[in-house]
Amino acid sequence: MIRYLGQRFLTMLVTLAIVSALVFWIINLPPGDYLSNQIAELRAQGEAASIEQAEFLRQQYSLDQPLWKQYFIWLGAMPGPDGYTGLLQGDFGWSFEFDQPVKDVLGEALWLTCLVNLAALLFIYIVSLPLGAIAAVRAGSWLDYLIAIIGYIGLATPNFLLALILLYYGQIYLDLPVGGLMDPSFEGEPLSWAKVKSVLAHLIVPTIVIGTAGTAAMIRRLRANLLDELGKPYVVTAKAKGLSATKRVVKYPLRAALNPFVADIGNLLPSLVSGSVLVSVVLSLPTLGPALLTALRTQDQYLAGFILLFVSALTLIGMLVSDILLAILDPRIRFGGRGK
Amino acid sequence: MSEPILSVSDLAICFGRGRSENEVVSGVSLSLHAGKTLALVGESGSGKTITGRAMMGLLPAKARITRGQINYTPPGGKTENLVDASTRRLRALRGCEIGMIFQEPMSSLSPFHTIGAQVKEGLLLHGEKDDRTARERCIETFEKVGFPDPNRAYDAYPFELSGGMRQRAMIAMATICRPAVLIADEPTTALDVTTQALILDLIQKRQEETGMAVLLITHDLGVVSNIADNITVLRKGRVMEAGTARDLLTDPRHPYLKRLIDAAPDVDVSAAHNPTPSSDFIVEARNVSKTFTSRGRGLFGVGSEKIHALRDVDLTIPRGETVALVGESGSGKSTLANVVLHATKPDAGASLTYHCEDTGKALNIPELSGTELTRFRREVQVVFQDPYASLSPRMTVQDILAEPLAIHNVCDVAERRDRSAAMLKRVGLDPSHLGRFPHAFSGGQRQRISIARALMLQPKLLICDEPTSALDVSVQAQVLELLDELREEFNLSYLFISHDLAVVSRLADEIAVMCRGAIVEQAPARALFENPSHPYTKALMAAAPDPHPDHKLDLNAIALGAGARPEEWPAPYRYDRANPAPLREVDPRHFVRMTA
Repeated sequence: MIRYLGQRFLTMLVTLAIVSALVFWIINLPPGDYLSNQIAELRAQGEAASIEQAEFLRQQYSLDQPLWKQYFIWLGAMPGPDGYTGLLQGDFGWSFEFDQPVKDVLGEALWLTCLVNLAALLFIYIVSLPLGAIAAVRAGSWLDYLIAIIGYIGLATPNFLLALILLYYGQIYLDLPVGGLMDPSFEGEPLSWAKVKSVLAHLIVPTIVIGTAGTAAMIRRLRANLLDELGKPYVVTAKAKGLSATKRVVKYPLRAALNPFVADIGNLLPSLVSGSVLVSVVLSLPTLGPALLTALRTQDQYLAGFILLFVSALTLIGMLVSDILLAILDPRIRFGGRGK
Repeated sequence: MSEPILSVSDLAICFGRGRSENEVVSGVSLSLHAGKTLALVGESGSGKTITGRAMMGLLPAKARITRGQINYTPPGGKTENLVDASTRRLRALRGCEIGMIFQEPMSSLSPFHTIGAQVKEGLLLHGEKDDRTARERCIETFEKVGFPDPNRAYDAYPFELSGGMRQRAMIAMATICRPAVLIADEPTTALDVTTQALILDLIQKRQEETGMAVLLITHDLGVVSNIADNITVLRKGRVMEAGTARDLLTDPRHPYLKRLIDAAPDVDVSAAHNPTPSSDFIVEARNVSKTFTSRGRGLFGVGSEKIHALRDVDLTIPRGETVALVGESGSGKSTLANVVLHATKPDAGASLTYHCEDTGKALNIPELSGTELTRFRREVQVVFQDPYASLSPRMTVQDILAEPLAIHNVCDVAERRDRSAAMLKRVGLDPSHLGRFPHAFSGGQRQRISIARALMLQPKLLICDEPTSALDVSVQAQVLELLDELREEFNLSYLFISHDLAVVSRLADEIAVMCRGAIVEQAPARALFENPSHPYTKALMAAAPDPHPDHKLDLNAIALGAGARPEEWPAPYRYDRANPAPLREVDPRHFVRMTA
């Protein structure tokens, strides 16, 4: 088991390294960089002094170096000019667009992104597990169809539209706060109980909005898996033992149907993160989404690179978690090589 | 006779409702007595499984009981009709007073729970409160059903056990609460013959210990004659004949039962072929080995294991004759067929030659490519085991039969159609059915279609991989007969693979018995049946159940060769697997693997 985990962890690190190279390469695919674009612009306006400053910055951040060197400097595997140490040393680089270190630009957004997506993930699982199970066990009944209809509506409604609707009615009828992830008075404040409460209240709408599509898909998937499992002979065996109906379903087929369900954590995370960009803009959530959008548009390479890498890391962690859960859930994975 | 524990009277079961209502069981009556075994015999679709399920209230959702009674009288208790019993009452009976064993031990056990947890569950559901006592009783039962290491079995998962051991676990599960009635639904059909004999013996032993009544659902009269006291024969949901096993098997009255008994494969030594030696071989295999490397754990496959699927196999198929490969699952017979088919590459050092009659060329099978391979493919065809899985459900019979002709671009479309019709007629089906899809045919008819497809290209060699083991016995006999006729007519050579010596006894000219990737005995059919020498061959022959009630299984002979463990065979046949004994010629053309 420990060996299995160690192996998975190693694979994850290797993948992350490859992803970082890919991300860096893709960001740099368009010609030029943020500063050379700026220099061209300044030159057109004839501002010599600013050009000098930009040239200085180019050197400072080694944008004049070949791409592979830039990559290793960014990674922190090679010393950069003027003590720029790179990712591995915890220096995320400089955002040209915001004229701030990347760390300060993102700040709380990192953790709020994690929070919003984790909440959405939990929402998906908590809602789809019972609904999917009921839909499968009562397949063909009005309950099954009702769940299917709700699911399809969730799948078909554009997220931002749902966000606006929920925002409006949530505010009118339930007195839910509008926009943001906390009351403005708490921004930048140290963690306190009041702040946590404010964040939780602000989380409700984004969680539902981001989670709905995933929930609908998950319900369908669980229903299909469970339906398959319900017809297996071991369910009849359980019945022949005298197990009651609920226990019979929960203990045997549901357990088997959970496998693909759990394996999906890794797939869900990236779609959640990218799907939530638009929602974040609409709900003005201080997550990574809007920052990523700006960074990509302006070729702010360190900011964009870091965000993409962070999201990839999140995905890989999700995969690792699902691998661990799978190994715990399924003895065939755990003991595949035992005792033959 | 004493009062029956369970008696079914005039039971009728329907699928569907209203117009689509379909009665699958019509007025079945039978009764089970303590300590006795009743065999419910019938072919697939006869309603025997549904009848068994009904007794436990385990009918599928679409089926319902429309008439009749299932009366259960526990020892010293009051009679109750299980048809009217509440769900709660049925639940209390299931697993506690009525136990059930199923056909497929792998899929009938949950892969997510240990054997111990699954067996123990029955105890805990029916009164046992203390987990530790339950565990102890569980391990005690494991000992009784013959687990060599009960403690280890308790913590094992189903996929870590062999098929026979899984079925033992199922028996432990069904009998741990000492039920008054045990329903065994084809408990040995999925097992090898030698394992089948041991499991049948075990069921009988459990019955002696607990005094339970057993309902054995089976299609195999050989199994029936070995363990049943009484027989009820079902056909299309109706009872054809019922009585004591001895009476029915020795003096069947109903023509259906007579047919079943006649169809049961048995070895007729005098009918076995005794071919004259020939040196015109269509396939010549020398030193064929195949080693699979199991995927080791870890990124770089550390700890990978070598599995010898084939070991220095020498086999020749004389032109126009049938060579049978017989062995249990895992013996390597299908691997050998794949190697001959150019589907699997043998290990280096093998010499595998196909002698083409028309061109007179000797082709090296593993190295075939290009036009020679195409030609080889045309001349060597296969019939697979499962006619349900080997025919595409989306193609009509016409398309299935014409496809090989189209692939090899043999003739124009009109002629393809004519040839398909002629071939369908030849295998005994109506040519007007060419436009139908495979699902419209029964298992036996589908296998006929498979055979027709294999013959469309007028092959020279036909490889039959267990062509009848998915079929009912009466159908099996007809398909075997068809294959025999076709061989003469089309001048074919057969490589016939089977796990059952009796199946090949009338067809084969030469028989090679395989075990653990090696041929352990090889001889002309007659010589092999007259004088089987190797303990494994003897075990296979002894384990094949015979419908005659006086020919019971010889468990001692089975035990000597069963388990397929060369280290445990008696001398001089014993050998270390790393260092196999050589094949020795004990009689002319009769080879046995033995030391000295």
